[in-house]
Amino acid sequence: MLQITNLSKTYHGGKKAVDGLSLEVKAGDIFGFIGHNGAGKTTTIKAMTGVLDFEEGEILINGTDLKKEPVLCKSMIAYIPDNPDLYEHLTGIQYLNFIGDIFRIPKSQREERIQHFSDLFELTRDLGDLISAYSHGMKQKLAIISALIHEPKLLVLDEPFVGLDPKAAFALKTLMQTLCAQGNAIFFSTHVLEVAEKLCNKIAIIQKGKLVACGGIDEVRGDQSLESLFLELIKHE
Amino acid sequence: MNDLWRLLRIQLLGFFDINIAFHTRDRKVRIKKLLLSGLMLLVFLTIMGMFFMYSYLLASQLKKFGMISSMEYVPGWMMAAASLATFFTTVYKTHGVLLGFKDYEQIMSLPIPVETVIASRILLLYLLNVFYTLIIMIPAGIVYIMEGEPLTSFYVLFPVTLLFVPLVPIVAAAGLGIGISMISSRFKHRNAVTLVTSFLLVIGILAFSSGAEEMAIDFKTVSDVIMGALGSVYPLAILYMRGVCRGDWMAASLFIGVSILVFTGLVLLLRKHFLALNARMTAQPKTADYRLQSLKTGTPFWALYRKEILRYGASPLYVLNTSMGTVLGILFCISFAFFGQERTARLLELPGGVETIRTFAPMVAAGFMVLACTTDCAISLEGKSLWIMKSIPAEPFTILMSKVAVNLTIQLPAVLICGLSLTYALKPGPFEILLLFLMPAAYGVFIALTGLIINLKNPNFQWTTETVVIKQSMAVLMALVVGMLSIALPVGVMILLVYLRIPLSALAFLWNVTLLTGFLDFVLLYILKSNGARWINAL
Repeated sequence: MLQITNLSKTYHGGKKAVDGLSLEVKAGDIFGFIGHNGAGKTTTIKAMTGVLDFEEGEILINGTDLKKEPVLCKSMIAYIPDNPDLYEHLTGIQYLNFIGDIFRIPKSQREERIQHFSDLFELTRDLGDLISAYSHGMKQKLAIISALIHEPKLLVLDEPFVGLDPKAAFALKTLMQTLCAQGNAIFFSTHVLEVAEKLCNKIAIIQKGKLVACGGIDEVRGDQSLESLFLELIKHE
Repeated sequence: MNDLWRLLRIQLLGFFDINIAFHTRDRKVRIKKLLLSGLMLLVFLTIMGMFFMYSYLLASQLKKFGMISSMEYVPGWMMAAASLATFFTTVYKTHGVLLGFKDYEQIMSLPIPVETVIASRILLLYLLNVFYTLIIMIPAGIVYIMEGEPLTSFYVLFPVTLLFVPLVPIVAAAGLGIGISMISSRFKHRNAVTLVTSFLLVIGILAFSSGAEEMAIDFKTVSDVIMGALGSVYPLAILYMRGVCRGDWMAASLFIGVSILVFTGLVLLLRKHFLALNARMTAQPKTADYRLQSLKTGTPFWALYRKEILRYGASPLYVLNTSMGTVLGILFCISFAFFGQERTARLLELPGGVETIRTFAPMVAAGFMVLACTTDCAISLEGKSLWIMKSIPAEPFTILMSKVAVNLTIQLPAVLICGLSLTYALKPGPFEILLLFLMPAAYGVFIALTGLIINLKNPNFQWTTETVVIKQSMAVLMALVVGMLSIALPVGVMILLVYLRIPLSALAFLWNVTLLTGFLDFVLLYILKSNGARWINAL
């Protein structure tokens, strides 16, 4: 579903944020992307969702080159950033309808999915309000709903559980598992190692822009906990 | 005091890109920012030059009519002009700079007294307005020194009083701005109320001051008439003039005293009501519980266009700043049709009379179209939501065209109204009629595309108040200069040809300008089509 080969990204000013990164996410995978602040997680995520241009490497979404067919690739992805800065001048429903138009979701399916997911995240009654009046958690929920209504093949989330109440976090985890069971894939970054440990079947650890560990969760952590492994890898740097 | 300076510094760094220029690791960005700062300086110097020319022309007129003793009207008028400029630019800054600013919660959570926060906001407004005052007033002062034989006291009082000129207009504007925001906050469609009130206010003041100008136009009458006209535009200007130019220390002290007193009133009022006013301004109306209804669907372009239109309508500052030229154009053309060509020619005292109006009418309409556009800050206004534009599966060209479409939505009806009004008033031939519509339309498209390209190459996403990108950004300034040049160049060429006595058909010349502008529109469209995706990627 997602194949990254030798990705490098250098920011203006010479800072290399990602350095020769390669990984693969297959259909049905819940892939956890772990690293401390500034390790290159968000840069990688932004590059794979077309938000950030990159100089070296190749990113394939379901076999399609992101550089060559960006619009087609983006139509298969849903991206939820760590800080959901949405269009504050729109109401919640206007934003969801905007996303529905952009992803060309048929009217009946659109209405049905909006109703379903906004009920699930308990946001339906607030959909008529301007997004500027939403709390951080409500914006996060709206971003999640907007990502789910077009049934993406690849769901990319940057720190998705920050700001969510326990009920919404549980709903999201359940949805992630359901989506993967249906043959889609999920790639998400997190600081919360317990979540990664419980939810993911594959993980990758990034350190100073380079992958230091990648593979099946049991294979990567071995006998120790993910936390111990992570701390050990950081100490060695 | 240290906290005050810190807060002020943070705001100033947000208003200008100096901080980025000094701290970026990217040499290219640094050079670009420094070059742009140089360009900005050049633009300000040019504006100062224009005010110098205006002051000098005013002084020459006074000299021509033997009114050398009345030369004090030069700094007097310019002081009134600076005060009006302060007033107009501050009304729209009240919400965003003084109150209801974006980082309000962050700032208010800091262990800093509220008084210091208030002082930092007022000081920022004050500094910005002192800057504008200097741009307008220094040329007037120089002209007065050159032509007016000033008293010794002028050299002391002129620089000192400069610092007090913006105070009263700031207070008046802040009072009005707060009033408008308070009234509109009671309504569900608060932005619409703000817009209507603001438009009525601006048109009302313009109508009032144009009435005053009509009174002042006849320099041959006694100076009392000029004094009366000046007093009707801005009464404090008379006190200022008496104090600064006639060496009346009492009047000067009174001017300074009134300014300080009024300004202190604003500070005290804000100190008392700052929290309540902000709470009122930032409060969001809560609608009744939403129930999902049937949704209207559309194409991606339609969705993007609707989103852009809603963005446009959500910011009264954006609407006012970008549509005022169009509204003034409509008002001008309608009043032209109403007054008729002879009376308008007489009123404007144009050399060549009716014939000049007939010749330049399409150019005048085009001039109103290029005064401002919505696209020169449309990219910057994406702000932190930029990730949406970059991650959605929409063609970059479609995204860009949705922004251009907003500009055309505002300008094309204006082109139609202006064209019809001018056709009615001038009763021209078929080719002239066509030109009345085509020339402003071509210019409207030109400025929309140019503005967008300029903003794509000079974006600013790190703003904390919309004012920074809508009113003061480099892209807006550059688009304004390009727009003015696009009108000034053909007019200049036309004047040159007439001066060189080269036979010229005005109609043919204007048709050529229109065709050239139309051609440029296609070139710009092609540039956007071929480079749009790359430029968006680079944002």
